[in-house]
Amino acid sequence: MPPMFGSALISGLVIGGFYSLVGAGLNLIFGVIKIINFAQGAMLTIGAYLTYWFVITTKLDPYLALPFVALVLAFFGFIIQKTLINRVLGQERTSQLLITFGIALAIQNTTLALWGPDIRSVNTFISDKTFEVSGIRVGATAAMALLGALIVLLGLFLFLSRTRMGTAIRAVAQQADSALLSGIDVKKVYAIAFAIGSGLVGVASVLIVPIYDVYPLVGEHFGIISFIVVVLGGLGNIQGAAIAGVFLGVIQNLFAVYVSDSLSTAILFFIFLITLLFRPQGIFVRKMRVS
Amino acid sequence: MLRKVITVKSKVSRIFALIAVIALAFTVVPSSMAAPAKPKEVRIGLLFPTTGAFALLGTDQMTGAEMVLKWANANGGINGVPIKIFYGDSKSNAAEGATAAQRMIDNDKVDIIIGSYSSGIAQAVMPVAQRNNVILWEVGAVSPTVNSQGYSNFLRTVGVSKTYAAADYDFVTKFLAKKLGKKATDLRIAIANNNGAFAASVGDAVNDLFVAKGLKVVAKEVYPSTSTDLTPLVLKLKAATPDVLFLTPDAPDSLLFWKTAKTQDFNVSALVGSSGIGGAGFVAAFGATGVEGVYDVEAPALASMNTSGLKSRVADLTAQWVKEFGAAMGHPCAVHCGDGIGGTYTLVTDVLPRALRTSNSFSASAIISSASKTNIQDGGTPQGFGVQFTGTNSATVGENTKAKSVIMQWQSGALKVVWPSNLATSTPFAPMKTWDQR
Repeated sequence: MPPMFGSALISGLVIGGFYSLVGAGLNLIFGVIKIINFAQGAMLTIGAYLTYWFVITTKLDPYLALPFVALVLAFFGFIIQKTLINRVLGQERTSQLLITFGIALAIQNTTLALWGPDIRSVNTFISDKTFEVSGIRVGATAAMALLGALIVLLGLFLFLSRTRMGTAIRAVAQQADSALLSGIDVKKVYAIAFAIGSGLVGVASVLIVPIYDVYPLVGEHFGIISFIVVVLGGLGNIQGAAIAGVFLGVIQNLFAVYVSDSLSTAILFFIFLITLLFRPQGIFVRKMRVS
Repeated sequence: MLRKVITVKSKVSRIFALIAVIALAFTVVPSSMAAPAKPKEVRIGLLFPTTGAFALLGTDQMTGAEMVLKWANANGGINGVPIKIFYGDSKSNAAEGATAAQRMIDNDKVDIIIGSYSSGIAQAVMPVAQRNNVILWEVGAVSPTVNSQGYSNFLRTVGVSKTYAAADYDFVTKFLAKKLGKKATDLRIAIANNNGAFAASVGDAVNDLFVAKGLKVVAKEVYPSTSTDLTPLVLKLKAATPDVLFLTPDAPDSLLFWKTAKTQDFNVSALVGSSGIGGAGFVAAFGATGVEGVYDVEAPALASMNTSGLKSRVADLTAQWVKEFGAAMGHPCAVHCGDGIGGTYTLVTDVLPRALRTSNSFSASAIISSASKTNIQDGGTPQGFGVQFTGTNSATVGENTKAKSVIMQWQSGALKVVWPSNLATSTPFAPMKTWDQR
């Protein structure tokens, strides 16, 4: 494999792993609660600042912040769902869209007020390490991110397919009324789904920080791309979102190397439009769906 | 007979009195029209991106400008007329910038807007300023397209992207080529920039000048400013095997680029960067060793400039502001802080006092007229270069023909001016170390 192709492919897999994590969380929330969470990217920013704060306070490696950040964000998501989202469920779509958009703006401005616009860097014990095989180079932090994304996504699939709570989540996603009749606490499931979706963002943020640094808009681009992931993977389709994320990351990087770097982001939006026009149900819809 | 004489005298007196009254009226009315009452204040709006993607360096620029305005106020304002300062946030977005400008004009009744850090934002603010007959005093945006329409109310103290290219060319031909043991025309040069207005204008200006001068440009790459992975860019640059790379990023992609260059083991004999490459976050992220030898081309970073060539009063004030900025912001007054200080200094010490003296007004026409007479020599501003604006009859309106860019280099964790020698605080070195040697 030519080194340039190999390196672009692997870095595409890594960036795709981030897209998958953030997109899968967004899709879980949409699949179960039927609400589009515009705050997904902003929550990634919160996770990045929490990781930074954890490192500065404890002097420990940022990867050790993973359970802490994932739990805090999951709790944050749980509270948001309980206190804000629940109030607009059943109301018109505009209210549901605007409330998550408002949450995103509140988060962005709060992080700016608390931490200022400075770019903050965090190093891990593997920051300086690089793997090289036949001229193909990948940073250890990128490899860790890819591995972490794979493990977490696999864990999510197992949770949804093998556990009682996972089954309840899928039941609510498929038919909330029937799930309610069969004794499932639907509102609790909503909150848990929002918590898991937010927790996935927490995991992504810890894996992102050693690569992208921390600043108030670090999550914005990932939040935007996660919508393309959701459309491509099929609304509510977790596995589809995971595959779509990786697909987009690889396409983006190979396009940048072999066609045009300046159009490498635009190509993602072009795919987004084509998908909406010709296959609005998504490209990867035959796999497991939560709805 | 006597009564008749008295009557005639009385009539003559009345006529004289009438003439005197009319003459008095004529002398009073025109004089009040020619010399309006002295303004009570001058209203200046600071419009910078203090939130959003450009907030880091936009806040630095705003703080620099604000310090000078406050200093002027503490020293009697503009010849006794106080400055009232208003604040606007363009939120790193052109449309938001235009809206904020309109709001400052409508609500705050500003006479002048000082901005804008970003060329894209300045370009959106300029028509708003012109439409409302308010001055845009530009201290940060460098793209020549900002005033491609030739608006008369535009005055820019900082140099356009061509000054970056000129400084780069001067440095390559007079220093780098010799130091790297090659003829300038044999050097393999790569140019990369993101697709933002600032970066694109600098990258294009460098490319145009180098190609016109016969230098060997082996790669010209443009990447999206929102890119989350610069591996493709670095791989393509590495494949081009350049000796020197000219990189124009924004702050976040500066760090991402250098990290990716390290991962991909991309080495060049010299990297001449800009924007975030000269920011405090760059050295904070990689440490002194990690950035040692990297060059930065921009207006000079005040904290690391040789001020011995400045006029003594300017040098003293510069030292005071550099100290004040460091204490307030927790990092040195670098390039963007210097832009804010330098540009605003010219406004409050030269253009506005003359406008008040000659027109007794801070109207746009008074300011433009005053600016047309500005002729500050090198050493007369905190940034070291002089100021003289192109007029409305020129091909480019409101540009500072004396603005210059300098070459700085990271040495032992500090960004030092190394070129030209009259502003330099240190001697440049090349080639820089490879990643293995760092």
